[in-house]
Amino acid sequence: MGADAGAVSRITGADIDALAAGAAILGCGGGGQVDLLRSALRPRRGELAVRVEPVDSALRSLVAVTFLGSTTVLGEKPPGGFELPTAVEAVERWTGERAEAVVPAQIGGMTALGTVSLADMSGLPILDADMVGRATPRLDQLSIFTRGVVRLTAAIVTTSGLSIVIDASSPAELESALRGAVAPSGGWAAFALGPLSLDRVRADLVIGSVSRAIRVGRALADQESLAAAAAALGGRIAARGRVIDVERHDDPISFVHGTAALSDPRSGAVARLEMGSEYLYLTVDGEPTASVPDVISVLDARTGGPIGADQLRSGNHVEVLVLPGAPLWRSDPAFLARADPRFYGIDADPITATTP
Amino acid sequence: MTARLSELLAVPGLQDARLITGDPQSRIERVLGRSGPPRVISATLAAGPPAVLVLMDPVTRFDTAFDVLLRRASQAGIVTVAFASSPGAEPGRGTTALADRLHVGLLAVPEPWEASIQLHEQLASSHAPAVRLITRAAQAALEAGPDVTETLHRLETALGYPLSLLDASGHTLEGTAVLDDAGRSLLIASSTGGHPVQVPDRDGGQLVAAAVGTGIGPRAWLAAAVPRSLPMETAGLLGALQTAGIAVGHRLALARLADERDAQSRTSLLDELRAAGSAPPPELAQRAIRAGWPLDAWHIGIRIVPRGPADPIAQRSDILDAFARRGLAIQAVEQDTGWAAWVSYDSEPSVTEVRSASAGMRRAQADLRSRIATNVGVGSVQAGASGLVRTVGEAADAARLATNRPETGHFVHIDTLGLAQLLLAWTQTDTFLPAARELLAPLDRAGGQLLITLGHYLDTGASVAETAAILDVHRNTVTNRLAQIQRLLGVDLADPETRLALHLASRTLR
Repeated sequence: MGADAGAVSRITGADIDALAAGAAILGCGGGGQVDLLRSALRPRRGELAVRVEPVDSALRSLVAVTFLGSTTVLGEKPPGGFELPTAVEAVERWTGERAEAVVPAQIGGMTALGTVSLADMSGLPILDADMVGRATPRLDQLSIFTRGVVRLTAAIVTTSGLSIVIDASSPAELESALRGAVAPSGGWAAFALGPLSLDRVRADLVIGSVSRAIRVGRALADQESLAAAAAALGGRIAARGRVIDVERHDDPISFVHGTAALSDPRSGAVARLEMGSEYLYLTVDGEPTASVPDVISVLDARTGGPIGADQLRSGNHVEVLVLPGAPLWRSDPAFLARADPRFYGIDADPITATTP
Repeated sequence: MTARLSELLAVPGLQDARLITGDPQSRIERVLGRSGPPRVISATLAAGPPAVLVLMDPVTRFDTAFDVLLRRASQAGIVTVAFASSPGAEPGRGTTALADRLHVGLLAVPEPWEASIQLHEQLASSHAPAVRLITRAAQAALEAGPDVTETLHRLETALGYPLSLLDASGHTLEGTAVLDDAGRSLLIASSTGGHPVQVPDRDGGQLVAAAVGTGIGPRAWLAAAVPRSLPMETAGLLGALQTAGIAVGHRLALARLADERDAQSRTSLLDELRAAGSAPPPELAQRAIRAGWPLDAWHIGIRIVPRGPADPIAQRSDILDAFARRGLAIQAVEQDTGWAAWVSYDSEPSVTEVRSASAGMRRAQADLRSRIATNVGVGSVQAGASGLVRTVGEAADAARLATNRPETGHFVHIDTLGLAQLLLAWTQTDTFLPAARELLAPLDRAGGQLLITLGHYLDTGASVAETAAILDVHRNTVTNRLAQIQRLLGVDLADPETRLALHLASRTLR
C-alpha cells in the first residue's frame, strides 16, 4: 500500500462524505462521532478546497492535531470550530515557529474531518499521513514517539475557550498532564502538537492516510456489498452474525473494557471481539482472526454504518470488517511493540490481516 | 480407566459441581490439571484421549483468551473444562455457545484442586473409590457403639447412602426402606450362599447387598441402592457393605448374646413355676414379678409352635409385635420349639373379652404366617400362679391338636373346640362316661331341668320354639335356662362344635 496508490492532492466538498465514511471505518469503533463534524462542514461544502501534500513534499514544518478526552461528551457539547485553530496558534506563538501544514494525529474517527476544517480555515495544506493508521486511545502511542522526539510542545483548547500550553520532555508526561487538564475543563479538548520538523518525523509517519480514508469511503459507497468493498480494499469480512452477549467491565485503567460475542446464524460460528475504546482483537470459533494494529471495524449488516465500541448491543446484526493496518507498525519490532495486542493488555500475538 | 462424566460427578465429593453445558454421557479417560492464565494453558495442550481439563486458577474473564483455550482444548480431545469463576465473572452466552459448537463441556466447580483430586482418584484406578468407601466404613464401625441402630446410622453417614438391614427373607429389620418389595425379593432371590449381590433396579440404578454373618442364627443382609448406573461406585459400595457387614454382624451377635441370656432366665423361671405347683415360694413369685409377670391375675395360655424351622430367640420380638398389633400384650417364653405365652387380666375376663382375645390371637397368627407358619393352641381362663401353669399346659395340648386341624387354620381354643375334641377322643374309652358326667355336672347340681332342657334343645336342632313346645313352657323360660346353662358350663351354645360336644355328653348320660 504505497503512498501514491490513488493519492489525492485536493479535498473538496465532494470528498467529504467519502472521507467521513472512511475515517469512521479506520476509527475501529472509536475516535468519536464522525457525523457531528460532517454536519458542521456541510454549509461550507461549495467553497471547500484543501490542498493535500504528499509526505515526500518539501514542506518543512507541520502541526499534528486531534481531539482528546471523552468523545461522548463531544456529542453533547459540540465544538465551536475555533478550538483547533486556537490550539495551533497557541503552539506557534509559544515556539515562535510557523506551521506550513497540518496533519491528523490519528486518521480514524472525527480527527480527519477536524483537520480538513482546520486546513480550510487556516489556509494550510494537509499532509497525506497520520500517526496511527486507525484510532488510538492514548497520545503516547503515536508513531512519532516510537524513536523519541527531542522536544514536545503541545496545546489544548477546550470548548469554553481555556487554552493550556505544555512543554514536556516525554510523551508519557504529556499524556498524564493533558489527561489531568482535560477532565475538569469540559470533558474534551482540541489538541495541537508541534510544530514538528517534517524531515525529522517523515520516516515515522503513517503515509497516505488521508487518501486511504477517502479510498475506503469510496469503496464502501461504490461496491455492491460490504464483502466486495472489503475485497477491493485488500481486506475481508472476518465475522458476521448477531451479537448475543456484550460484557463491559468497569475498569477504566485497562485498555480492554469489554468483550462481545457474535453468533453467525448461517454457519453457527461464534466470534468474539475484545474492545476498549476501539475494537482490538477478534477470534472466530476460538481461532485468533484479527488484531491491532490492523483495522477492525464493526458495521451494521443492514445499513453498512459503523457501530462504535461503546454502542454495540446484544441483538445487533453486524459484519466485522478487517483491513490491513499501517505497514509502518510491522516494519520494525520497536514499532510493533507499541501497537500489538500486548500493548493493549491482551496477552496474544498480533495477527496479520492477510492471514486467511 | 474410562468413566462417563455423569458417573464422575455423582460421587458425594463432586456434587457441588455444576455442568453449565456439555454432554453428561461423554466418556472421560484422563484428568489434566493446569495452572496459569488461559493463554499459557492453551499452549500446553496436546492431543490425547478424552479428558477433563481442570483450570486451577480462577477464571477472571471469559474473553477471547478463554475462547482460544476452548478451541485448543477441543482440538486436544478435552471434553470438559472445569473451572472456578472469580466473583462477578460468569461465562456468558457467547462462551456457552462456543463451548457447544466445539463440543466442550463447561463445568463450574467450587474448588478446582479438590475437584481435580476427586476426578483423579476416580479415574486413576478402579480401586480408589472402593478403598475410600471401605476405609470410611471401617472408620465408622470403629467409632460406633454396641448398638445396631447407631452403627447403621454411622455407616449411612460415612458412606453417603441410606442402608437397609434385611432379614433372610428380605424384610427390613433396621434402617431406611431403601428397596421396594420387588427390589427386595429380586435381591434375595439372586443371592447364592453368602456372596454379595448386585442387581439392576427398574430405574436404571443398582441394588447391592452383602451378607451379614453373626455365626449364630439366620443370615441378614445389608443393602443399599445406587441411584444411577455407576459401575465404580457400585463396586466400591459393595466392598464397603461387606466391611460394614462384619461390623453390623458383630453388633447383632452382641444383641443376640443379651437376648439369649434373657431367654434362658425366662425359660427357667417358667420351668420353676411349673415345678412349684399350686403355691410358688415367695422368692419365686418375687422373681416372676421382677420379670414383669403378674401372677395374681387371670391368664389365658397360648402355645405357639412353628411348623417349620424357626429361631425362638431371634423371632420372639416378631411374635410380641404381631400380638401387640392385635391389642394383646402377651408374655412369651422361649421353648425348645416355639413359645409358651399368655395374656393376663387384672379381673376375670367376660365371655366377650375372651372371645375377642381369641379372635385377636387368630389374627395375630394369620399376620405372622408370611414369616413364621405356626400351630397355635389357646387355653381356658385360669386364675393365679397355678392357673397360669394350667392354662399354658392346656394351650400346649391344644397346640398339639391344632397340628392336625388345617380346617381351623391350625388354631385350637380349648374353650370352644377343645370340648368336642375331648369328647370325640374319649367316646371309645372307659374314661368317656365319667368325663361326660363331669362336663355336665354343674347342670346336675342346678337341678334336672337344665339337663333336660339342654337335651331337648340340642335334639330339636337348637330350636328354642320347639324346645318350649316339648317342655310346655314359655319360650322365654327356655331362653333363660339356656343362658343359665352357658354360664354354668362356661360355653357358648352358638358354636356348633360346642353343641356337638354337649350333645354327645347329654346323650351318654341319658
